[in-house]
Amino acid sequence: MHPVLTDRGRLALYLLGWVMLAVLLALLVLEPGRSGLPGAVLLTLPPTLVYAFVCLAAWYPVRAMPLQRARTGPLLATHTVAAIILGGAWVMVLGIWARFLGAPLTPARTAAFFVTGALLYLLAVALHYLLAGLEHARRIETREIEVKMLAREAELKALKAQLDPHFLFNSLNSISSLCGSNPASARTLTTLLAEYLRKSLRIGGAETITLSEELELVASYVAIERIRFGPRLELAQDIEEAVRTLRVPPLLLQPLVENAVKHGVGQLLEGGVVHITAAREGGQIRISVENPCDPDRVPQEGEGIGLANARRRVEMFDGRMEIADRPDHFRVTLSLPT
Amino acid sequence: MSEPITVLIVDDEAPARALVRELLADHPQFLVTGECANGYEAVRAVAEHQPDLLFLDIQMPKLDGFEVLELLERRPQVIFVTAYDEYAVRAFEVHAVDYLLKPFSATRFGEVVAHAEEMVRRGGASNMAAASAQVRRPLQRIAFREGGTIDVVPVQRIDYLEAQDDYVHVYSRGRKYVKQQPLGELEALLDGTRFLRVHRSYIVNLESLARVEPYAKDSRVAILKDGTRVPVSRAGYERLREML
Repeated sequence: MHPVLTDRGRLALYLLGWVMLAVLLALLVLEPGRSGLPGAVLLTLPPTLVYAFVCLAAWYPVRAMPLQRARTGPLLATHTVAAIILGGAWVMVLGIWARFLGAPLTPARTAAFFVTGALLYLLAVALHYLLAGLEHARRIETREIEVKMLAREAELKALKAQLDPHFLFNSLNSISSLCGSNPASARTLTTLLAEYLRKSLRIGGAETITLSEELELVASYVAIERIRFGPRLELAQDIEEAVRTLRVPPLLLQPLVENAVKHGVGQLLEGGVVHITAAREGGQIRISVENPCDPDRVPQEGEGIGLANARRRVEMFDGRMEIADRPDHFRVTLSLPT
Repeated sequence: MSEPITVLIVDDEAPARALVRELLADHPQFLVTGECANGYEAVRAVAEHQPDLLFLDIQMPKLDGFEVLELLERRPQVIFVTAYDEYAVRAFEVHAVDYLLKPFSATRFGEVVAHAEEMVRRGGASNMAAASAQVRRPLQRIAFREGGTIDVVPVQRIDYLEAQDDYVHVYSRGRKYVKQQPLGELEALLDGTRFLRVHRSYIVNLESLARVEPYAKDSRVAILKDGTRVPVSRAGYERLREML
């Protein structure tokens, strides 16, 4: 939509500008002894107002050739040609109008008006580029705010999912138990839990973190769960040294590991190993979380909340998530741009 | 001094079992006869030791606490111990003595075991068998016990069920499982959009159904995907038509 035509205030302002231009032109053509200022304004105003609307058409080439992308050559050529044509049209209208008023333009005047018309068109082009720029900036700003809000929301959700109350209650119960039998372990577990919570909160608030920060969080989580599950739960990591320092969205891996523990290894009598791998592949970083699971489990209809959340977040960061769901094995693979 | 009350502690987390054992030490009228780390062990241990009281976790691998209860022939008094508060209603429905939410205080624990002692002294084993059948709907998996072996079958894998006197034969992927329960009771527990009673003695999983053919005058037969033929009564055929 045309930025001037769609806004009445802007249109009024625009036309006011042109009326002032018409008066200015009238002052320039004013000659002693002729019909005076009213006569001169009568000559310049109607063609100027018509021209004002003609110049609105500058919007279309401006939109087709945004300054950010168009090359200078074609840009200048287009607008110069347009300026010459429109300047000619303008001077023709003005000449017809002057003849109609009974005072034909002199050749010198015609030339002067032609140049004025061409320049006015270029002025209109500049104005439209300005408007287009403003519009563009506003759009970018809105989109940025939207993206930020989405990210915030996702983080809040992840954080909420993170602090699974059952995990917390079960851990507190373990502490309560260890207080009697093994106070030193109780202290260790309290510290682990505090560390885990602190890391979650800090990481959850960051835009991106390094992979090793996320892995540290995962390690604290597993350390706590190991006190509860005992040797049934094991964590194996296969992390390429170079990817440890790469930045990834926070709290992406941890929920996947929690999933693997809760629904995978935790459901097996003999337990099992949660295996994390991370490596660079092409321009991407590939992270997978793999766990054995009970072949007799009740098949899930669709993805659980945890996985669906992870998928949404990965896609927000232009990544992909794949799930390999076999009877006795479950693997989630994330591909993220680096 | 009366007989000690025998206790079995069932929880997949060692610290949680240790806590119950430790707190019970202050109540000498209780005697811990065993600990189990999962539902399978629990079913076997109850049969073997016949304890008076069960401390039972709910979320455990393979068999959850409720499934353990379902498989027991003689049921002791039960105290559920869990971090999940959402099972309280179900615990009440299976007539549990009480419901301990992790973590709990020694005071709360004392109240609960006092209550349990009273229940055990008063009435021996509780009668929860009938109650448990009404609780869960729709059923997600069925646990079977035959002698020492326990099988858990997700309902999606069941092809059909057949009534045989007081038992139900459940067929899943070519295997037969037996459960002592009236077919009507199981029917009420199963997801009615997936399982349909096609005959007085048969329930069919609609996802296993291939087609229905006329059999004789006024009677039809359902052909399952694996080729099994299941009789369909007239009323059953009406229900089937309505459903599809």
